[in-house]
Amino acid sequence: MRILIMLGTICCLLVTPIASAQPIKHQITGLFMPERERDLREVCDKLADIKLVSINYKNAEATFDYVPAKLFPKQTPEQIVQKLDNLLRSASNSTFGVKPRCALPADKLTFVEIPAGGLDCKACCLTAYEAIYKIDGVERATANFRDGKITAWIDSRKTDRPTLETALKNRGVTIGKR
Amino acid sequence: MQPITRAASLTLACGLGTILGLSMHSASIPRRTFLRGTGVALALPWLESLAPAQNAPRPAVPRRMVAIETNMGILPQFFFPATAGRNYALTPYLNILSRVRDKFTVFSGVSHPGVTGAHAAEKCFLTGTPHPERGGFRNGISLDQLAAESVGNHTRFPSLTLAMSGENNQTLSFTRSGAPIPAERSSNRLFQRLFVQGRQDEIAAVVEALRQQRSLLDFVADQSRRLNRTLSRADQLRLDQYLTSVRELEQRLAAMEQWEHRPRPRVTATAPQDIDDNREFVRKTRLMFDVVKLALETDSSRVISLFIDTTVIHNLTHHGNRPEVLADLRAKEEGQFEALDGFLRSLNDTQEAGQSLLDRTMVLYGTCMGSANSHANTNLPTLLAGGGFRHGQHLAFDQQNNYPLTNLFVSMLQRLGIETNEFSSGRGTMRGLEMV
Amino acid sequence: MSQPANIYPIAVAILTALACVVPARAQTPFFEKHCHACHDTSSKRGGLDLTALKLDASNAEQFAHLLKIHDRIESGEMPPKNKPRPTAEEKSSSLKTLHDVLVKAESAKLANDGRTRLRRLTRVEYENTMRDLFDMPGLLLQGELPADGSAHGFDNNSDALDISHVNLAKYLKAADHTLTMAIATQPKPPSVTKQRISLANPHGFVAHVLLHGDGVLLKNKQPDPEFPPAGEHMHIDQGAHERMGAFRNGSSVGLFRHEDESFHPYFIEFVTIYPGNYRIRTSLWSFQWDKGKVLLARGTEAARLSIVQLTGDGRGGGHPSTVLGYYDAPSLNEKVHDITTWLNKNEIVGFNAASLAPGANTRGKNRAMGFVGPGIACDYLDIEGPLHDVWPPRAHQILFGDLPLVEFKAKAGTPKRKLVRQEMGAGKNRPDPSLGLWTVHSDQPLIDADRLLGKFLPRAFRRPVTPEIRKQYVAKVEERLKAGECFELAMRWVYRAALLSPDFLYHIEPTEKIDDHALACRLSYFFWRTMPDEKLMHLAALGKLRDGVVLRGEVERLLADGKSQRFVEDFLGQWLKLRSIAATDPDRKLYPEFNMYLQDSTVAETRAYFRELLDKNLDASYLVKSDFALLNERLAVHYGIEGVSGSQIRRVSLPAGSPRGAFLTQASILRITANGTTTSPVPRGAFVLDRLLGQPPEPPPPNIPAIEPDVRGAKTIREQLAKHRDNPSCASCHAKIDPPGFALEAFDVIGGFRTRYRSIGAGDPAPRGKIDPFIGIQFKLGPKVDASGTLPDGREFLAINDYQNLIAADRERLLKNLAGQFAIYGAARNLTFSDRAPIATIVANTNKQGGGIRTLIHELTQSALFQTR
Repeated sequence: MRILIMLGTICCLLVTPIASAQPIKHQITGLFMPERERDLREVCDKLADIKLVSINYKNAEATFDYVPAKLFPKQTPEQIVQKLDNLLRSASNSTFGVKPRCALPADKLTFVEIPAGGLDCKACCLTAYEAIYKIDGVERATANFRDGKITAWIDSRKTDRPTLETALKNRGVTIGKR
Repeated sequence: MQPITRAASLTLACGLGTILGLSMHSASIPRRTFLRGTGVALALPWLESLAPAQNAPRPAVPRRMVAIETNMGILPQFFFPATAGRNYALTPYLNILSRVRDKFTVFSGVSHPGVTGAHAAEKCFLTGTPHPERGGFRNGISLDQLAAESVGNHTRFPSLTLAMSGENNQTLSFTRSGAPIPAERSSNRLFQRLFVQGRQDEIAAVVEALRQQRSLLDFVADQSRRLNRTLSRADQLRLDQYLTSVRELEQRLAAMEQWEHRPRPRVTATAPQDIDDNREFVRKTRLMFDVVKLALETDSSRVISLFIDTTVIHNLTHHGNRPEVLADLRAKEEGQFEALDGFLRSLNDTQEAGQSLLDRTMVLYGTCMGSANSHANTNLPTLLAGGGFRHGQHLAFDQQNNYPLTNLFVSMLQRLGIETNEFSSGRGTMRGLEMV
Repeated sequence: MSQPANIYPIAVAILTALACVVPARAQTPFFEKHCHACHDTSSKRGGLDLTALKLDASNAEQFAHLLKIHDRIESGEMPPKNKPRPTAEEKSSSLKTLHDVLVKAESAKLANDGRTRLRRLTRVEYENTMRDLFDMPGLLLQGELPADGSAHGFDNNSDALDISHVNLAKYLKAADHTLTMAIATQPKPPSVTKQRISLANPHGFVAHVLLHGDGVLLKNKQPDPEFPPAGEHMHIDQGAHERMGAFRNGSSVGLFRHEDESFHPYFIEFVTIYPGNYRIRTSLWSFQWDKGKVLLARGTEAARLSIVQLTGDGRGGGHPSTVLGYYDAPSLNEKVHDITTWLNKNEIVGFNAASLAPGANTRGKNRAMGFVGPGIACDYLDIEGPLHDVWPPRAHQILFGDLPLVEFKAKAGTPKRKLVRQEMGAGKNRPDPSLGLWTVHSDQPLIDADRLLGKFLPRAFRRPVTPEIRKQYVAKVEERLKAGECFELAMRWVYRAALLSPDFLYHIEPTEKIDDHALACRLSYFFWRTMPDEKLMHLAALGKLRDGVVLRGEVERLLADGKSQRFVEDFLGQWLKLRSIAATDPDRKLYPEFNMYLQDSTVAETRAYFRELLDKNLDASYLVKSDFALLNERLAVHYGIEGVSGSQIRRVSLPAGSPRGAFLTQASILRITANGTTTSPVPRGAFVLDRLLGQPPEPPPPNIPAIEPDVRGAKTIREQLAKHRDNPSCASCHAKIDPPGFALEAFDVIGGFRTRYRSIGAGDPAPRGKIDPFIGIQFKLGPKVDASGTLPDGREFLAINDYQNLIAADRERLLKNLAGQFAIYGAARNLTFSDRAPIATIVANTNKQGGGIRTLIHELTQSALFQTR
């Protein structure tokens, strides 16, 4: 009897397709301050077929469990990133998104820290973040007026600190020592 | 909705919704005037001859009104002449209009009493109703709509409400109850409405609706006669006014039905292509002006309002006297005056019964803010061209104690043959402006 | 003929005796004795030559002439005080002669013209009648109709109500609009939307100003930790805040800013799609803000809710607006307000922090964190509706009874009908999915048509309708059906025709002593400005309305019903000219404390006071003097009366010596009788004479050249008028006009009490008094006010209180005028010379029962004057 059950289980295992959920890491936009981790979890709870496994705030990365072939059949990896981006945006009023992984290795990125003043308000921080995160060469960024600073990891071949400062100023952010 | 269907229902709506006929509002209109209106209802359109002309009285050459507002101000320093009278030196903006210098009058020291509120005043340019910025504000009837009540029934379109604007729903025209009349913003659609024939079934629907109205009035008239027989003589006299009104409305509806059957005027011009970019407001204005001229030439309407929205340069208008911003703004405003010049000269070059079209068409051009920089609503830069007045002068009024612009509107109404001494805050005609 | 010399004096004596006995011929001797000295061909004082007088009143001018003479003799004004008085018999006999001539001429004229002439419904009456006929209380029709005229002070007089094809075109449109709203074309009512909205709704003005610190978000009556108040920094990017849900977390909105030309708080998330009744609920409270701290407020504040109509596609703003009311926001203690109101398509609810001072400064360096001042908090706005307790709605049932609705299927030959798609509004609420086009169905159309019209026509025409007439309408239905139309459209055609017929548009009063149906209409239009309700119609059908007890009961019922508020508003709007409350603009520099909250409160005061006089049946002296007032806090502050808190009007006992309370000294009246900058005794005096005392002053005579009084040296308006009065030809009228005007000089343009005039420029610094601390004071105190004067009969008064006492004693005259005003309004006609006696009787009967105003109304409605044409 036990052998039959074992054989049955093995057959089941053999018959089930091997494409099961795997943990996939993605670069996330919108993690501009630590509190945003909890927000991301709340947003991902709303997503069907995708399960959030873990968040690495420092690297602005998140790991998900899902089946790419099932959710995004016949899509290239770049297209999958775009589709995930749309999904995350619609679920979060466009405050979270997904972007392609950085081509540059981490030690080639330059760290920039800009002191800035503003209200300790999540939406204001979002504004500051959105002023710079899409600039070509900005890999990831944070903005936190509670600490009084805006940080970014940039590719110094493509952009520089003054560009970031100008973008922030144009958005209405107060730069400089408080 | 198809543009033509809209035109058809607009005609109906304009016919019934816009008040056709003489104003009941002004107590000073004598009774004989509104009874005289009965004969005018069947007047034939000026530029088209119709078969049963026989004994129909030859109507007088029509007069028209075009009222234009540009909503973000006009730099006063480049507009107002330094001296009053006939020999004033042309300022940079007026110089652009130099070829028609003797066909317009420029005004200074005029504004609408009590109309404040910076940008809110833009909706009161033709109404003069005070305090548009206050809660509970209710606008009044606009100059063009009041004119259309009297002269609108002569043309297919009693009036045309137009705007050259992007997203915003501005309009210069307001009904008696202060409701804004949506403006046509597309010069292409306007062209279609004016000159492209409606579909047979749409025309049939409009005609059917008009016929039903008339048959309803017929029935109601029968009921009135039945009622009349039961009344005392004094009461019968009073009810007679009602019977007359029923007859007059029937006649107007009959005239509207005739319009539906008449083919639209044929023009050689082709429909303009709309420009999407709101920054190109000068080019968009020119397109509108072209279609407006066609509308006037074909007597499609005699009362037109045009709202020119230049909100795209709002930031420029708050120049704070910075030279580079002023220069930029001036260049744009000069472009506007060039468009106006083109329009006025095109009217001037068109002949109609021995006069130019400009001589028969009043063109009012102005703005709701004397200084857009400071949001002041006094000392409005304004000019009036054409229409049959003694022009070629600068009429200067008191800049500390402005003269009511609505008095000019009274003059304009009188020029159209409307007997009234009042409009909104205006209590008489404009001092110094003579009709010829 | 030669007479013996000694018979001559006897003959004269006989003639004189005869003169006393035979009044008709005594006329000429009266004039000879008392009038010809001044009023003959050579002296012609006042332009009057009585030697050429003919006792003939057959044309209007002569009539007016003789009337004037009659009245001057009657009042004792002529002969003038310094001449010998006529005896009582002389006076009464001459008056009788004149009286008879006038009455005879008048009767002849009235036999021709009629007194109450045929008149159509006024705009107000039309709108109310349509609203009540279809049970759609919020139907908006008045605004589209041309303005009515005015005759003898009111718009419901035949002379004021011309009609032209313009009116008819508008009535056609109004009928169409109403029928479209009334007729159901869906099988189910629209689903009830229930929405909770924050004042800081997306894309709204309020969310925008919150970024700047003109307001704050509050949770549990403390600043919302997730939305710090703007301070050294302000919030950036409204869109980002909306996306992060900053305004959607249930926080209350605390506003420091009053509405102004750049700021209009709207609850824009709900834009009405389906017209109907809606339930609105809001929770309000007030607080003192101190740089980040929420403290006890200075008192109860007041917020205003209004209905705002969005233009066209729902995006542009603010036209026109109806005030729903003012609502209390108690200090740190939320108050929930429930309102049910009708909303039309594209209407939204608007808000204003009405009791705050405009322009309070929150834009300093530290914005809200640097601001100390009052704020009003709104926790939410709940909106629920449309509320339909039956479907199809009552309006539909009035037209089609309980005939079933079926889906419309175009048959061959029937005209196609277009489905009217419900458009999306600009709010978050969405229209229901359309269930196709449904229409009312009848298996026996002509029988149903006859039945439905049998119910509708008598209601619409406000009297029974003969079968012959009904058959004519049914014949039209048949005609339309034969042309291929469906039942609904065929019926719609005849309903429209009915609403355009003169049977509907006109007040039909067939005989001189009006029948019961016309009497029912007179009552309902008097007290409700609308068609009679079922009970009135029923009593009329039974012929019971003329019974004194029944009639009295009905008047009581009508006055007790909420619809009688229409009477209060419409009557006062015209009698006391409240309709022109907004005709002038108080100068901003001289009267910075003026705001719309004050204006609305002053109008509410006048209406509430009139209602109180009616309900408590008080006498006519209360028109000019009272020991109580109807006030809210705003008015109490304005009048300097302590101890009144909150926005609602309530009865307040006045401290001894306060001149306030009565119409004479209410701010609304004082505003209406002034221009925006200055007061003048002449228009105020004329108003008191005309509207309250019933003695309208003469206009200045046209053929007397305008005398340019020397006003150089004159400082106040009073001094200028003194120079006018020195001229005897002006003095005869100004002796009457000026005194009330002088007494009222104690009040400024917005009805505030003053002992000194306000001025811009020269003057002493003005104390702030009760003016809000945030309002800047630029005016100064100028010359002293002198409110003393002398009545035409010589009695003097020193101040407004004295004047009030003097004319309050003249209850008779006040009551008589009010009786006349009610009569003109209720009977919809001018008062004729022959009406004087009936009016006097009505007044006398009223006085016998205490002289109360409610009694007056009863006496009037019971009188022949009211019940005949």
